[in-house]
Amino acid sequence: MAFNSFIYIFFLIIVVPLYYLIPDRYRNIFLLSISYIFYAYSDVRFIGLILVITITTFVAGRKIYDSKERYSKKLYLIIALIINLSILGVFKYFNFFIDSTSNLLSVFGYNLDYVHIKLILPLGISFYTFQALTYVFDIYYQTLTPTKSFINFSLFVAFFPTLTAGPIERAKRLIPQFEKKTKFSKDNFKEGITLISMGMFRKVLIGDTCGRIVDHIFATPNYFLSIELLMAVLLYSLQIYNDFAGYSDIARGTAKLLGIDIMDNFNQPYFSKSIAEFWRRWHISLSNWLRDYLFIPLQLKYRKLKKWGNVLAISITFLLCGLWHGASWTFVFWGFLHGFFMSFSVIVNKQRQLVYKKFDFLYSKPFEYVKVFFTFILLSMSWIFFRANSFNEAFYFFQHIFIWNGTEFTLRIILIISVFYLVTFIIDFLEQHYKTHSFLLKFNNNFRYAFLLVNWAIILMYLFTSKQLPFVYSKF
Amino acid sequence: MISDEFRSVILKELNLDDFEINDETTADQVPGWDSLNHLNVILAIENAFKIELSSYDIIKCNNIGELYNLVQSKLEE
Repeated sequence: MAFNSFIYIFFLIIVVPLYYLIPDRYRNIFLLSISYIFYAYSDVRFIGLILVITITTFVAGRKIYDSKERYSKKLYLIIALIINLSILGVFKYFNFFIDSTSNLLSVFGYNLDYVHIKLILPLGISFYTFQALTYVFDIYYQTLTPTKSFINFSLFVAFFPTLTAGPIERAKRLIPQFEKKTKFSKDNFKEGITLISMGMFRKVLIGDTCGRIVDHIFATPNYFLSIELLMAVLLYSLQIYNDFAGYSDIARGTAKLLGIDIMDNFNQPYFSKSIAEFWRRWHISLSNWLRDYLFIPLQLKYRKLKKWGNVLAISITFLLCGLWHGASWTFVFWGFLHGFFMSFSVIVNKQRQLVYKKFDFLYSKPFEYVKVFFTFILLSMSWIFFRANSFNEAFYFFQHIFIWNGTEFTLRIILIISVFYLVTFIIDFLEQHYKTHSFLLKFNNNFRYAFLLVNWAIILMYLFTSKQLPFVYSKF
Repeated sequence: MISDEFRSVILKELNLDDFEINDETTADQVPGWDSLNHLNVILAIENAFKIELSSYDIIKCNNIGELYNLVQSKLEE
């Protein structure tokens, strides 16, 4: 069930009032049942997978906690990791692994095509497996005690607002909220509606509109001029951001309607002055997961190598980050690029500090804007590999986007790009200024109601008249 | 209660002259102590006190006070 659909709006109109009408002691069971129904609506075949992951992770968590010796704690953690990651690995990467090995072996005259299995990627698998794993990791590192309630834990894994594409929450943030009594709150309701409204604005009005242009050009790039290819690249940067940030806001808003607080997933990422800062502002739930459970253990393991230990940990983390996004070498390469940018920054850190000490203007505000611009260029270039279906397609874009050949449509193209960037900038600026995604609540009631009315009128018109694009991250 | 020596090792590594840190302070509250610099701070502590800490024990620490207690327990071994 996609967030940008009438059925989802209808679903919320039924579920949210019912949630507050039923007695408190039955609410979590109700929410769990609703979450499974939500998932089954999209694909009933894989409910069993969520159950397997829920049961094994719950049992592993208890075993880790009850074990006295560290080696047995580690053993149960490894078992939980193997089960969760094997399920993810088989469904997401089996055919990719076979194809890659087959390509390699074809050099020697061998072929593995017969090993291919017809597999469908279960919806949300990359997200709920990672979310479940936070439970066993935190118990292993003794920052969480296991919950006695299987219902609450199951709800943590399958909570429908975050089930299909995150944010990837932590057990220690979410489970305690399920264990508290929830009362209807007007403030939560207002904030929830505001977040959902802004999320839909980002997704339907900016993300999808950019997406239709991007899809059209990426489908047959050789039919388009360089300026149009450049437009596709620049609009993709906006599409991927507004699509996913919009999704996250809708997820957070939905949870807020139910009195549950979900973490922020985006913090105006295109205002970043470096790639390192970008990863503190983009898909925060995933980058925190990778930092806490992969990067820091690796970094500490290789710390004797000093900065090269950091470089090794960064490289492994970002290669796997790329692979997490999709079973394709273009995703891996996208991850490699980010790892390269971060590693370069670590390697030249001392030299950069010396240069900064020598030239004062490097601390100035105008130079900060230069850094933001340069970082954005690196990000947009790397997004080409994220979006392209193949390296050939990506290289085609690189070969052509730097050639300037104006057309009669050049001004119109510049206008389209400018309008979308301006709107996104205004939203991000207001979020930063008011330090909240629900900044609309800071405006007076008349303005807010007028904006929401117009916003929903346009969104509903789009939902009625246009084919909705799926959320980009629901494919991962 | 963290010692002055422990405090000064951390501040020196992060190029901080005057920043208040105590037992309850967490890494993200200290300017410059981000995930990339974490390795440098840990190495500086290990070199200053001539000890080697286990990665598992370091990760379990929730604040500077717990990290200090870990260092003390290692020194006593």
